[in-house]
Amino acid sequence: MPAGSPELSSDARKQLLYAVRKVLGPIVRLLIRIGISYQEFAALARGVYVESAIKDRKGPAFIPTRDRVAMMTGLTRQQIDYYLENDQALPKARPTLARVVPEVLHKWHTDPHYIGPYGIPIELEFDSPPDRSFKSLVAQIDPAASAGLVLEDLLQASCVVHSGEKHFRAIARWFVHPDALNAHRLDNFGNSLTHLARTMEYNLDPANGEKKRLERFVFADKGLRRELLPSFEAHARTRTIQFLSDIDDWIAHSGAKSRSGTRVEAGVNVFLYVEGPPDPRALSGLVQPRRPTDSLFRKSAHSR
Amino acid sequence: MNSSETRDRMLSALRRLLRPIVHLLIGAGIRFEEFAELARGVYVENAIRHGSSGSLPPTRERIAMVTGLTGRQIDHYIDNEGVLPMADPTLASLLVEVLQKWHTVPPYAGPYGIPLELEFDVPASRCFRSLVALVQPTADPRLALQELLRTGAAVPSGEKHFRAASRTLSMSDDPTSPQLIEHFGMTLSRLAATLEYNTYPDHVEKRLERSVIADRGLTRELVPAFEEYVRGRAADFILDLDNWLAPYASEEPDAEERVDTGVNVFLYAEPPAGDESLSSADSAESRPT
Repeated sequence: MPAGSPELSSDARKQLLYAVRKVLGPIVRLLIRIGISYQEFAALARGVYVESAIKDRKGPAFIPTRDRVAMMTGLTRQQIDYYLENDQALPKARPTLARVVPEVLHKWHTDPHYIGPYGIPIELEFDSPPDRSFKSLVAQIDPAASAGLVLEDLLQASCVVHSGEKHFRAIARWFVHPDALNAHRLDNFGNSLTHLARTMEYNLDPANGEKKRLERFVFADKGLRRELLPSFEAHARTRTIQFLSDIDDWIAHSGAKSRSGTRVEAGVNVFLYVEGPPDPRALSGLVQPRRPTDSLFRKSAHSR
Repeated sequence: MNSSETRDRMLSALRRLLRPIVHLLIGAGIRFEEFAELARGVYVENAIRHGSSGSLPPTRERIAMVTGLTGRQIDHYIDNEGVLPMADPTLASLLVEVLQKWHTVPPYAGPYGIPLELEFDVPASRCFRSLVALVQPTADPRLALQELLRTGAAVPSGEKHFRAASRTLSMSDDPTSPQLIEHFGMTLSRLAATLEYNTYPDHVEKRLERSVIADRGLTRELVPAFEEYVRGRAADFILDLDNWLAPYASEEPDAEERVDTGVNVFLYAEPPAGDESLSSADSAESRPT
């Protein structure tokens, strides 16, 4: 709820806690797989509470006192001080090629300098001629990025292939990283969820009245037979590519016209979900029964 | 990427994605300790439901090892059913389906797919009551109608009839409505589940998750035009998928093995988030002297 919203009813509060339980589920599963314990999660979440209490406030631009932050978050003054006085307490993202690589593909498919007749991206050599090569294409997006690394990522993802001995050809407009758990995918995990959460937060804010951001979905009534899922996915994939290509073209033609003024990050995301039925079994039925010695162990551990 | 890089990268992602969620929680008066208790339970729950490596269920010791929680904390969540929050579903998904059927399924949709005007309970085989029963026989049709009228998705027509005014359900504007909060949790958890699914190496076929971004952003004044364009294209896109799905909708939900599936599209436009230090943003007023 945006700050200043009326108090939640008991039903709404229950619904909110349940919503957070559901959202955290897949996130925590990934954290467990990576080996991030609850303590590390909690230390970070505590910091995010402090960060949000300070940075996300609305209304008059006053700077909150530490006591007020403590009151809003329920944390102690000592905990607040820790996050405020240690710059390293919250992790900072280091830049990756995650943003550059899709932009290279986008430019290769839309910039008149890099497309041939009928809008087909032309084949490029790595560094010659200097003004129309793969290297110059990357430099237009980020002069500091390594063109070699970008090319390596694109070749690995099969978005670009060799053509003859010296040329490279773009064969896909969208970048999907082949590795399951890599910097791109983890960045995307954070970015996509943050974008959706921000859009929904924006739409929940009564101050935005009628100006809601687009957020729509379509689903199969009573679900879809499992064997039909691949056909649905294939259809959705084709339509999504067309839909996003149209938007990409709009951005290339209209978005590029205006160069000055405050800029905002903007984009559109499409995702398909598949859910099994909820598991009604109690947790106690899903763990091995306690051994008689467990309680003894627990008692002795406690008394030490 | 080595495991230390993976962890650092994940923690940075976690910091970003938790921020809007925590902002909502603070706005709702949910303080850190209440959130932490819930998060501990989610750790235990997921270590149990998704953490079994073989055919045997996990032991409590293994769960403690995987989550970093103490045995006592693990016991608390396992031995107290109901300690993790639950909520009854709101009417939202029922209403979405009622509207969908009203527009597509004969005898509720007339020629050219125009929904027919319905009386509340006559004739028994083609009325609003039978339409709701088609979707969920145990649902209360009066409550469903009340909610559709309230949101404007249905309107009275003459003295006895009701007309479907929209194929989609507009959510309430009240940010504290359980319906809207349910939607928030459902949508965000679906994206999280798709993204998590795509991180498994053995899931060779990744789930569809694509985005298009404006390189270096858009100027603020271009955003309304961008939104208008995307809205128009998204309506066609959603309609196309809906038409693909419509023939496969089942009236016998338990007849075959079915999975819940769908596609979501959203637009975002936001100022770049900063990672600047917090000390510059707080007040010096109450610092110890």
